[in-house]
Amino acid sequence: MTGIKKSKYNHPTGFDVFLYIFMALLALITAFPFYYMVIVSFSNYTALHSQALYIWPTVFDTSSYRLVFTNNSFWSSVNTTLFITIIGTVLGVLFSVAAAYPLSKKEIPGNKLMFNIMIFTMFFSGGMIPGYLVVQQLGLGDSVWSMILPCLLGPFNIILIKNYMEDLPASIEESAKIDGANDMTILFKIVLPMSTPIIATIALFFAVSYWNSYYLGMLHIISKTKYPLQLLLREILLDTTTSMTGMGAALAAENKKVYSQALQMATVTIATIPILVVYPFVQKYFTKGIMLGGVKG
Amino acid sequence: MLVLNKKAGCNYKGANEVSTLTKQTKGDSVLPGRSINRKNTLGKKIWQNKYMYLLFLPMLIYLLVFCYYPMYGVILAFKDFNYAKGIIASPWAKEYGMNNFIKLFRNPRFFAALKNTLIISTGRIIFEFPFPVILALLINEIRSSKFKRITQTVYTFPHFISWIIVYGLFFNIFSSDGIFNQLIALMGFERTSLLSNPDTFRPLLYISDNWKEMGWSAIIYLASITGISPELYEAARIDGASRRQLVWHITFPCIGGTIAIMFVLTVANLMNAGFDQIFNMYNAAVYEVSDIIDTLIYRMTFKDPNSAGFGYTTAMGLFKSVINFALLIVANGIVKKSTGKGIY
Repeated sequence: MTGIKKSKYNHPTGFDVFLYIFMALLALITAFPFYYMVIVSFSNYTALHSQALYIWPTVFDTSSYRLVFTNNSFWSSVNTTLFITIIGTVLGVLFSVAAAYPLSKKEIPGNKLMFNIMIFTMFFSGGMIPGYLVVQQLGLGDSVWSMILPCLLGPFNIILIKNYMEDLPASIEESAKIDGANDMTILFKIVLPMSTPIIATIALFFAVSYWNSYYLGMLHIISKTKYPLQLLLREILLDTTTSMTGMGAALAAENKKVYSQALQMATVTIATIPILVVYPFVQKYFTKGIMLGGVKG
Repeated sequence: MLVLNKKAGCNYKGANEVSTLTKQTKGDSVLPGRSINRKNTLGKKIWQNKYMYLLFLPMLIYLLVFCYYPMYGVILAFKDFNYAKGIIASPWAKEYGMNNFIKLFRNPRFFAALKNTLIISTGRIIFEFPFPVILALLINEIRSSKFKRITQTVYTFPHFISWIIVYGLFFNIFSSDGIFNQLIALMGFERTSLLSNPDTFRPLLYISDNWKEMGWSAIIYLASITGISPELYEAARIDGASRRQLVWHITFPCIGGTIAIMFVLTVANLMNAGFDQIFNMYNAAVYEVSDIIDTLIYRMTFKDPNSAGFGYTTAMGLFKSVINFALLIVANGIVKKSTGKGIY
């Protein structure tokens, strides 16, 4: 019966052809800046200026990468960023899970109140200055913890985990309860293993936001050795000739052998690659996690 | 009473018997601690859930220190901040504490920033808000699941890189040596720097934000589309509906609630206009069209040698937060009244 009807929907139409071309073009436009970033990072001044349109790489010059990799401020910023990313992600996931689990249990007295206390912070905040002063008053000025602690929890992440946990089958938890397990044991032995997709998703969110963080570092970090990678990158992008980073000085010493734009793009490429490497592996989790956790809220 | 208490307590063997019994007879929940015993007092219920409250604790401490204490810190807006004395001991500002606000409303720079904020936010609603919806509808029309997965992976990726990197990428393309200028030089036009041109800076803001966030924002609509019952489509197909009719009369109305919620959240951010993006992309040449309240607060507080004082910039931030919060309530009220759905 539906054979004839369905064929109407299964035959590729003119619209399908248009759709595929359009979507492929859009994907190309999305990807192009990354492609251009990589080819410029391996280029040099002469290569970029000898061609009217530098769209196909003609040289493979690694001198900008060599300059970055021999730079001390680069390595110290990588150290800082790795530290805040790893510690921040582990603590952030732990804290978020801890908060999400009781929030997913509607029968606990005060559950609703806790939820409202949390959600209110999404819509009203003290603003930039009081937030800055709190970190300073805690004595975290110029400490790497000033870049970890203030963004340890996000209501949005907690809601995603909470929604996911609410959809887990209650029967397994209940039988564990009957077998004498307490709430802590149930959370770590039963609920956590069942929540892998959403935890992978949230871990990715945390890792990316810590890897990308620059703002708190800009406000609180004074010592150049504690600069996060993105802040160093910002300085390199805004002013290559600055002696602040040491990179500009090295550039001047090398007598402009390395082209500043290539150097900038080499640093940008290095900062992008970790995300590019991790992303495809976690992507299948996060689409699932968002779909399951996000639909309700 | 005594017997009841014993059953409800942590005697698991007893609880086991009771719970299986209730399960068979009433089909009730079998949780021994939480919901069997209706005669539990509140105190007992809290004690039974002690571990749950322990789990709440880290969040509570975090919220108090990093969210609610700064909220209390907004009283700075009514004070003359003295760094040595701290927030609480600083003296109240003149004019019954309103001096910071009086100075604020006499400052033309503030009004210029307010104007830019409103223009850019409105621009985002017009030139950014609709695209994720359209993209989600288009992705949903792709039949090959492999093609769908690959393109979606590409569209979503830019969300995960920082605005600093996005600035780097756009600078790379639009700088005087970049490919954009090579292209227009080839076509015989004069090289131009779009990132420091006041006429092109705002469009570039919308373009780069769309490029970065469109694919990501589409996910929430795609999730909402996945939730639509397939029976609706089946029924419409049997009635001979065309593909366009399916999209227009089923998919689009079914994600209306999600669109409304996203719209409320966008309106509630009207006074924000995107600090991260603008702060990393703007420069002195385009301040006149791009300086928003947040960037002005940042520069006045941390970069201005004759700083106006923390109290003054806190007042500016408070003004912004209060308007955003009011907008949230109004927008949510309107949406709730017309569609029945809201964020709270």
